[in-house]
Amino acid sequence: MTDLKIREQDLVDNPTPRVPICLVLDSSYSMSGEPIDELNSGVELFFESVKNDEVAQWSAEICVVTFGGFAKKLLDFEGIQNQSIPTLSADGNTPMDDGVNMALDLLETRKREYSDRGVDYYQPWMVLMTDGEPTQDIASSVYRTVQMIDSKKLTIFPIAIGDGAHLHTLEQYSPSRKPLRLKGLNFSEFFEWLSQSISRVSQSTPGEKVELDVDGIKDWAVL
Amino acid sequence: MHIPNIFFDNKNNQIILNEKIGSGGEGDIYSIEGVTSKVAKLYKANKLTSNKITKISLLVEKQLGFPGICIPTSVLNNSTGTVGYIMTKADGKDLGKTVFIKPQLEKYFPMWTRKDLVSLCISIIKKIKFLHEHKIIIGDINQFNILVTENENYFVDTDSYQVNNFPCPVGTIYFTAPEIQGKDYKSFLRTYDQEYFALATLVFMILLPGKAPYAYQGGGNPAENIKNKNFSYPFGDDISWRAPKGVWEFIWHGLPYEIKETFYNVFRLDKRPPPDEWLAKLEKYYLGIENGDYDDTIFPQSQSRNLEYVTTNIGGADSYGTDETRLGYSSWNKIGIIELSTKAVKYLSRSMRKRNDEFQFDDFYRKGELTLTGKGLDNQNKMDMDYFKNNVGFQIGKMVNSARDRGRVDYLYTIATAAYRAATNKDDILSLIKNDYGINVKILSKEEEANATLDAFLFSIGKKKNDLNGNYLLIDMGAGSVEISIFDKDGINNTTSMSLGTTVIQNILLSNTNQDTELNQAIRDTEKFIKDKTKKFLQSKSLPQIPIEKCVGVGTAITNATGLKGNKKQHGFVLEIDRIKRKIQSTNERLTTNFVVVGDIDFENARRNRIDTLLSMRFGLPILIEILAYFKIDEIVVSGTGLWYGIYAQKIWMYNENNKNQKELI
Repeated sequence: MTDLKIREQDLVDNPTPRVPICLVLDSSYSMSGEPIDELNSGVELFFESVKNDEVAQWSAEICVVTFGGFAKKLLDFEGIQNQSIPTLSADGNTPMDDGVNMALDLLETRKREYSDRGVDYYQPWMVLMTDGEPTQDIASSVYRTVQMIDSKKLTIFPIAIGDGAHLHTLEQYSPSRKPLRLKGLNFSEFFEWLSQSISRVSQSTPGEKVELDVDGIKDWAVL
Repeated sequence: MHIPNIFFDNKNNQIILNEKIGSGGEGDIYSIEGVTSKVAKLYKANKLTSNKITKISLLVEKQLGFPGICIPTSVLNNSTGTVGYIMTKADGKDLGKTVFIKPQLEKYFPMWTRKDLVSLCISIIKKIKFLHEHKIIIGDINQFNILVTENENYFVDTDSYQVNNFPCPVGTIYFTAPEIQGKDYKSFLRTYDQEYFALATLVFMILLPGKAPYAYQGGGNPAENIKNKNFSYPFGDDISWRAPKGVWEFIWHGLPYEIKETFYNVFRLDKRPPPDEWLAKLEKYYLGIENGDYDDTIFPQSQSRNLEYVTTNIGGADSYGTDETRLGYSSWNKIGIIELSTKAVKYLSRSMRKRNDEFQFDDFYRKGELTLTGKGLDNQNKMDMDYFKNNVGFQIGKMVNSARDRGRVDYLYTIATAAYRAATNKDDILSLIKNDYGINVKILSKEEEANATLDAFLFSIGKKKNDLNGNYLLIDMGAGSVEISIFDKDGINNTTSMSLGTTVIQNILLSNTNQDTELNQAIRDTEKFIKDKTKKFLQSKSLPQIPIEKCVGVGTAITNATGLKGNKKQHGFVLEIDRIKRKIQSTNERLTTNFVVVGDIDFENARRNRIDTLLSMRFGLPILIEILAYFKIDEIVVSGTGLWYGIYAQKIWMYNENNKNQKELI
């Protein structure tokens, strides 16, 4: 069976409403060394803890896009059972616009696939992480993102890594939710929180308001 | 915060809490020392309102002992007052983590079959029924507050139940009825009817494990789907072809008719049955599985659909186009008729030797080709023009050639019926016929069709409408529809059309089943649907139940029920009800002894092996019986002269009327 067939078959067999999650991660040169290592172990932990959740593992679909030198699709949406955990490496500049646009394109495609097959889905999430400033004009991806957020078709979690991260850039993507700054390199704490949040969502019904664990945010964010 | 672990129940017995065995948003669950059958819920400090305490006390007062309903049996107090309650201990995992996810279902209950799902539904509904009898509405029925084990199930989170004037403050979208979608659950009291919606949703999501009833292809968000009542599974002739892809529609096909009907009523028509009705139907289903009438597998193997996107509603629209085409200029003034019906293309002319004398079958030249034209209509009633060209067009060409070359016809009249009337792209069809074969076509209105059909019969007995005594009832069972018309000497005084023609019925059968559905079940369910629809139809149209002088019947089902071959022999035969009933039985036997499952029948080539005729009788005759019963008639005269003879008669009559002294048409 081709990858495409597996992607389709899973949608047809598994009735669980899906939570699509885009991880749009900065992998530019400045992330080299400890940051990218910590980010990698955070991502790994994220996958593991979603896989260990009895409902979320059937519900969560994760895509990973990195932007370092150029935008790259490391992982497309699919049932987590069929995914292998990607490894990020740091290189190049920060084409954030391309990265976000690529993630939004993947998201649109997947949403259409859900709809075509009669699979319900939750409002998608996007985690946007950067440690610096974009090296290209971000107007087009900001426009698309904000439009989706305004029409309640996307929830965004903008996260700044380290002091060099440009908060104003992240603010443009997120009109209502303030960007948060990661506490040190607490990627693991963040991804643990993220997987718990997804677990909560997956036990609700698409369209319902889900209260996030606000207390838990202080484990990983500078408040 | 330190909580002293000494508590008291409502009888002031000391309760000692042991380990924490669960936790939720509102509080934690603890085991109780010395009591294995019960547990205690201890609320978090700010989560226990005075309303909630009153509600818990009310539930305790009712002293409801029903196994598996973990309702508060006592409040839990400490020195500061009420801090929680005691309830029966539950066991198992919630539906959302087990039954609703296929791999989890197979992991936790590997031995389960469909019977276990049905008995799970029955057991759950009995609990709901019990609660309703004690005036308690659950309110927040959902997959996470029912725990299941191999053989038992438990209702938990019972402190949110609606009792007296205390609403259930929570809910989830899937289980919320359309009329209360988006409302604040705290702000109103739910009705039993709204609970029945949740109940039906739960049964659906157990029988089609995990699939929400309103999920459909092209669906938006669940709340919108529910509000719009976008239920996509086929029932009878309501077929959207939007059921979610995968095993779901195949599970649906295998459900008993009564269960499907009930879901359809709930999710499409807002008719929601109470627990008792569900119990009766599910218990019957359970027995049916035991007897081997229904499949016991949870996920059926079959993935082969019968067909896709065909129409189940051929009706509508007025007459359209012109019928006359001048083919020749002989002095005979000879006329020919081409009838384009839903099933066939037919050509009729009268022998040159005969004039306008007494009707004789043998005087006519008849030719017909089965084209199954109606099958070219998709579910939006758009004709597939390639299908039309390949299957119908060239047959029309053949008929036109016959008329022109061999028949030496001067005036050709071409009329078309139901399938053409229904087509949304009529212009494409008519211009294709005009361009390729050079003839005009008139699409008849239903009234024109009924008139011509009766005229055909009257013509055969040498009469016209103004010769009639009393009321004539005409039943025309075509491929597209069944037309019922009442005539007297002034013409039609009532005509009505039911979208249950033979092609439509075959499409209904095929759309509600798959290749592996047993033919017996397919026939039984289809018959139930069409009889029901006929009854409802006749009542809704309030056709006058007046005395009928004579009932005349036309159509394959009726002519073949005579057991005679050829229109000539069939014409004038009187069919009695008992004979019709016997015919249904013998047809049924012929079908079910020759075929086991729907996939055994080669519908494409049905016409070659007479299957088409058998199916027309099997489903057409029960409809006929319903109609006869409505009018309190016990016999029907078979007319072997179809619509085409009527058109012929009308043209002759009209011509003779207008040209009294000229040469007559033949």
